[in-house]
This record gives sequence, C-alpha cells and structure tokens, in this order.
Amino acid sequence: MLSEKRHNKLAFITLFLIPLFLILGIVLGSVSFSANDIVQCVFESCDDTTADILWKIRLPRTVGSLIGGVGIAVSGLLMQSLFRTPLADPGILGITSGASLGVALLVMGGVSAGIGIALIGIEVLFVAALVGSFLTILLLLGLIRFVANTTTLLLVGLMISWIIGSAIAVLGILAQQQNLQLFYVWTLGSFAPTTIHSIYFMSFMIIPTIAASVIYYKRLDASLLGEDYAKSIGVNIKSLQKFSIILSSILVAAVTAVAGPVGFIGIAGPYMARLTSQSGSHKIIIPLTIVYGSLLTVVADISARLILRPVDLPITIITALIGGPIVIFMLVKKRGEGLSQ
Amino acid sequence: MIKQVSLDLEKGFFVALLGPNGAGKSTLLKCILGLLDAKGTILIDGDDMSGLADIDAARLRAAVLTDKVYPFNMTVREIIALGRYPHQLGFRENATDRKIVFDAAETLGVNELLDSRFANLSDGQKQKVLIARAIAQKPKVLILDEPATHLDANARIEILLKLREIARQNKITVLASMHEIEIAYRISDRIIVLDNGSVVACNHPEKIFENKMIDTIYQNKNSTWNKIFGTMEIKCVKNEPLVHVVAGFGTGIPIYRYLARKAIPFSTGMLDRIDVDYCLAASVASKTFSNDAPYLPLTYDSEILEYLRHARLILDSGFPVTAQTRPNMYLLIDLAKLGIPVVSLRSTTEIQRLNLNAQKTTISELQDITSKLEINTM
Repeated sequence: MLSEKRHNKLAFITLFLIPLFLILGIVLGSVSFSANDIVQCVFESCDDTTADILWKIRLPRTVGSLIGGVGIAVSGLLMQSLFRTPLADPGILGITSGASLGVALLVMGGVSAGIGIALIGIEVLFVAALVGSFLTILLLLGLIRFVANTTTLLLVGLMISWIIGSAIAVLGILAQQQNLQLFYVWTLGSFAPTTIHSIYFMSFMIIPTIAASVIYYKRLDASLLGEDYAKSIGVNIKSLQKFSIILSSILVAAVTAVAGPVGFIGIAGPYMARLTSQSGSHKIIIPLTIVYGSLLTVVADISARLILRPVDLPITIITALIGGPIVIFMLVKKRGEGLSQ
Repeated sequence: MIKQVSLDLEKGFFVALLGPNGAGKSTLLKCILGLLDAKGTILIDGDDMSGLADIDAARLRAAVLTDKVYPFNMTVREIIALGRYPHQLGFRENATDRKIVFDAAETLGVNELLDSRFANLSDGQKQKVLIARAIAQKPKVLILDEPATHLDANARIEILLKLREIARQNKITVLASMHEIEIAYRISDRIIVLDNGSVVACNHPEKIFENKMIDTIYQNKNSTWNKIFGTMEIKCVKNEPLVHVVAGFGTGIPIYRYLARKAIPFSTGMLDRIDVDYCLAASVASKTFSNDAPYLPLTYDSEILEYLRHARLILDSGFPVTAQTRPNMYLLIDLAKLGIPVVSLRSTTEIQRLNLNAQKTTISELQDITSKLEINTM
C-alpha cells in the first residue's frame, strides 16, 4: 500500500532528525564551542567548565525538551480526540493554567510557607500541577455538554484561563516578594532548569502514559466517530474519556512541573503529524506526534538560546510563534480538518 | 416516549420503520441498539442483548446513525476498518480483516475511495462509507436511522436497494427508519408503522397500504395516499370546482396534477372506472363522474350538466376518440352550448374535424388561462 510506504519513509527521516537535533542542542548555546573542543571532550578530556556546560547543563536541557515535547504533544493529541476538535491544546483550553494554579497555590499560597520554589521537589510540584490540570479538564468536560461547537469550546477555555489568571494574580499580590519572583520565572517556561533527576522523573511519568495510549489506539480512533457510534462498535466511551483525562493531565503536569507552562506544542505536534501523514488513525498519528513534538520543542529550545544570545528567552515565546499562526490558519481554513462548525 | 413494543423480525428481511416526525422512530432504534435504557428483552439469534457487554453486542448488531461525523483526516479505509474492532483481539489487523474491509467497500462501491480522506467526500459517499463500516462489523442485525434522508433522489434509491440486497445476500435483518413511504412500499419485506410511540402495525407492505392507515398516520389534509399508484398525491381543495376536465386513457393525469399543484378545485368525467385517469381522479378531484360499466361506451345524464352549470372552464385533455369515449365529445359540445368556455389541448385541425367549439391551448399556456380564473375568484 502506498500510504504505508510513505509512512515508513516519514518515520525514517524524522527519526534521523532527533539525534541530529540532540547534538545541535548540546553544541549550540550562549557559549560557543568549536567542533574540536567537543570531540576532545567526548573522546579525551577537557576542562571542568566545558564539561559542566556540555554534560550538566546542555545535555539535560536538550534531553528534557525532547521528552517534555513528547509529553505536551501527546497530551494535546489526547485532548483533541477527547473533545473531537483538532484545535484542542492544554494551553488553549486553560488546562496548563489549571496546572499553574496548582503550582501557584503551592508556591505562593502559603502551602509551602516561604520555602520557595527552588527547594520544593519536582514530585511535589507535579502533584500540585496534576490536581490543577485534572480539575480543569473535568470542569471543561462538564461544560462541553452545553457547548455547541469548537469555537465556543475555545472561548470557554480562554475564559477559564482568564479566571484562573486572576486567581493567580490575587495570590501573587498577597505573596512574599521572593516567592512571587520565583513563581514568575517558572511561569515563563523554560527547559533550562532541567536536571538529570527531572529527566528521570518525566520519563517515568511520560513513557508508560504514552505506551498506554498507543495500546488504546483503536478505541481512540473509534471515539472520533462520536459517543453513540463508538458504543455501537463496542467501545465504552465513558471509560475511554476517564482514561484520556487521567493520561493527558499526567502528561501536562509532568512537563509543567519541570519546565513551567509550555504552550502550543500540543496543537502544533499533532497538526504536523496529520499534515504530513494523510492519515487520521492514532496508530500513525501517535508515533508521528511523538517525533514532531520532540523536534519542535528542541528547535524552540535551541532558538530560545540563540535568538538574543546570551539572553535565554522563555520557550513559550518561540512555541507561540510556531503554534499561534497554525491555530489561526486552522480557524480560517476550517474545511477538511474535521472541525465541526 | 415509546410504549409497549413487541416485534419479531426475520433474517434476510429489509424492514422499513415508518412514522411521522416525533413518532419515536429514532428512540426505538436507539433502544434496540442499547444507546438508551429500556425495559424488556431484545433477542438476536436467541442471545439476550441486555446481558451482553458492548463489545459482544457489537458482533451481533451494527448501526448507522444520523450523527454527523468529523473524524479529523481519517481515511475511508481507516473508518471502515473500525467495523472490525469488535472482532479483533490482536493489536494489528490481519489479512482477513483487510479483506473484509475491502469487500465491504466494494459492496457499497466505495473501494476506489479507500485512501481518500473521509472529510472530502460528498454526503452520499460518506453515507456509503458509514454503511460499509457497519457491514464490516459482520452483524446479524443492521440498524439504520434515516439512511437516505439527506441524499439526492438517485443516491437515495441506490442506497436503499443496496441495503435490501445486503439483507438478502448476507441473510441478516436490516431495519431502517425512513420517510420515503413510496420507496418503502416498493422495496421492504416488512413495514413497521410507528405513531405516537406505539407500533400501529408490523406487516407486509401490501397489508400496510391496503387500507387508510397511511392517511391516518400522516394526517395531512392536503395529501392523500393513492393505493393503486402507491404514491403520495396532492389533494384538490374540496370546494366548488372551477374547472371541469374531460379526459380518459391517462391524458388527464398530468392535468389533474397540474391543477392540484395550483390549488384549483376541479371536477372530471365521464370516466370509466377502470380508466387510469379514474385511479388518480378518485383521490384528488373535488368530484369525479364515472361509469361502472367496463369498456362499454360512456353514458351521461342531465345530472352532470346541472352540476357544471356554474363551472368557469371546461378543459378537453385531448383524449383519443373511440367508440367508448365518443359520448365525451357530445358532452363537450353540450357544455359549450351552456355558454361555458371550452379549451382543448388538441391541434387546430383536430378541433375543426371534430367540430368542437373550443379554443386551442397547450399545457404550457394553461398557466395563463388558469391564472385568470384565480383572479376572478378572488
């Protein structure tokens, strides 16, 4: 079959790109190294500063953005299947805001009582973000019963973001200066603070979650036909919905806990997967979303370091530049993308 | 609300579910599909559906619903393959599944669209794909909610005929709700009539359509079910006729339909009761004058002349003049003598040859003549 060959070719090309960008992610940054320095560092020995920058800062950061990108992209895909619109994204629907509120309550709301974000373990941040994102998805899913179409859903998501935003602002006004600053830096979003420990943590959360969604691919496909059709072919949509909610909130929370809110990768990754594959089945879309999600995020991360070198920009600035136009394009050109209304 | 319903459907049958909007057709189908809760039992091949898990039930019955689907950019192949879900235990689809998907697509004639995106198809093609998906499910009962409603006339017949063929070839029961009464009459093995949430009848089409049932259910004073033709006809307003049509041998049918469409009350006659014109006129004309003496020359008496004394126009359909219909020529002449204008659809030479005192007209010119009538009656 033609499409299968095409998909294999696509998988080959994109898989080849991942190690390439991993190397670029290590090589490029505010401090430049010559090829010679790096080869020396890998095969022989080099000074401690170079080794530290390469292996303790850039390697975790690049690997972190690769893995984090996967998490955010797949959570976007799951939400798109859950809400049956390709415009769903944890950032757009306010789910990332929910996670932020969880973290804000932890950092500024007296829960941590002045310990500060830097001293709170990644696991605690994750739990706070998970509670926030989970409750937001539940709220959205409750509201969607009264929502007629995609556009309204997006507006509802936007309003949720605003409401949560003001709650966070109130917390910010009441918070201690030091905690507010730490929280603000966190909300900008960056993979710079990624450590080996947080990579292990993200992998531990993300890999099983994605494996579970791959196993469920047929059910996810069936859910695209709608609740009644899915039931008529034997898919229990209610339990699939619970499954998608839990999985996507775990993914959002895991990445958000490490890198702060990272926007638009959840929409751009699946979008590129559909665009290049000419398929809609999760069997093909999930693997491609994984690849594109990680590539886009690592490219965004490298760009964030390079554009105003030596200033390190928040990654969301770059992802918004990639994702924003895609969302506008999809809204303008609704036809064929499966948008209802 | 659906009240007590008890139905027994056979294998290989195409069963139509008829009933006006709001009768509960969709509700009944959703109950059978287990999409709505209902008390009672549904047995398929002896298996009680209520005791089965969704996935086991999905091997016995499949559905095509009215829900619009927007499956992102899934291809036709991927959509049809979803029908294999209840049969697949493994992670990947095997060669058998692929063959079943292809065969289902071929049955519905969408095999060349397998790699196309579903979103790009026409409504008719989309419906075929959704049916193919249901076929790939290999069910024993196939349930469809208004499968032809949004399709053009051609696609409508094509899909319904295909469904009947599927029922026979695969020896499965196909149950479809529909609004196309005339097609249902022609293609169904059984018809279920639903009204106000109750099953009014479940029988052979012949039984369903032999009495006034359809008229009673689709209560509409402007239309009527014509048993002989098996068609829904527009009824003439039961008023004092403005036009009298002299017709026969089928020449009256287009004129009757024209007048009914324009809502001009008309009478017609004389007609032999076995004349095809009579078959239509009896259900749509304000009054029909007829003879119950098959094939014998028509006769008329002063009753018809008295009745038509105030008619505004006499219309001669141009019926063939034979030994049987010649008296209608005399009727035309008599009516002309009463001073009622007569228009004829015959050629000028024929009008002269028959010595008719009539103005020549054509079916397209009728518009002008009848519009004057309408103004006068205002």
